[in-house]
Amino acid sequence: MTSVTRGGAPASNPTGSWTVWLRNRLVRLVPPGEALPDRQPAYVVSWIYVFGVLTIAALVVVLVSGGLLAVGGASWYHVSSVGHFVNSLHLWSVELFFAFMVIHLWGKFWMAAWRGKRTLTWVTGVLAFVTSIGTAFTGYLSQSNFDSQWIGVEGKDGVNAIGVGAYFNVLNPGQMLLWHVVLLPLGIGLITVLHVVLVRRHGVVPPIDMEEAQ
Amino acid sequence: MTGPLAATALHAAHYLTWGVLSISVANAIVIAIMVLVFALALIIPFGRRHDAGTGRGGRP
Repeated sequence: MTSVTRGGAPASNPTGSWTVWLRNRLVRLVPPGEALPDRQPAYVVSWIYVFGVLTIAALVVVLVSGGLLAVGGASWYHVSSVGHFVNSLHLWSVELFFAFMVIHLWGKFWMAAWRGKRTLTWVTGVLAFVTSIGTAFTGYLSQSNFDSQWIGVEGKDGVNAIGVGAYFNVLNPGQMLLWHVVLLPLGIGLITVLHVVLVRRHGVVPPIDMEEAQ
Repeated sequence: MTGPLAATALHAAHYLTWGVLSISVANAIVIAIMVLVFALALIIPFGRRHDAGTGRGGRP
């Protein structure tokens, strides 16, 4: 380990230390001052730029209400008015999450927001969308009612047709519940963090006519 | 289900059909509202514009 005074981190990594390498990578991940900026370019002054953060806000409500449902258990909302309220909070925050995300998608599509080395930002957004659909699907399968049974029976042939039925059995409510509350939310969380870091790294995409003028 | 919504919730949904396309009225209304919100987000001015443009982030 290199002996340096606190705060005087070496720019290079002559020792080959993985902690130094990781620290340097994290510091350079986002340009200075761009992680939580308080000023943005003039073209960002539009309501269409609000829907990304609205999606994240809805996701926070989804995760918190889902956590409360996990405390009460899968059948809690069937027997408790409080549980029913939290379940409704979970459902409607998911509805808003998808509505905001799709409007965000429309806005970014018509801006061609993948311009200027922002391809990976666009791709992580697509991954977040697809993973969210899978999470919502397993949520419908975890309702522990006739609706979830019907959806499971209707969905099994499609899932088997793409060859994953042996590992992702939609007729197994325990497996679907665990995918819904552990694996898929973890995936969405990681993809969302990566998406936001990439947005802060490359900045908000400028309008097409501004780019052409430069 | 009990309450005033029970009658509507327990009946089959109304569907709009156009050739091979089929969508429930409820889903069509939700999509129409999303399109409306999208249009309003483009049209309605966003707050104040003072000192905008001095911020960083213009990184094409």
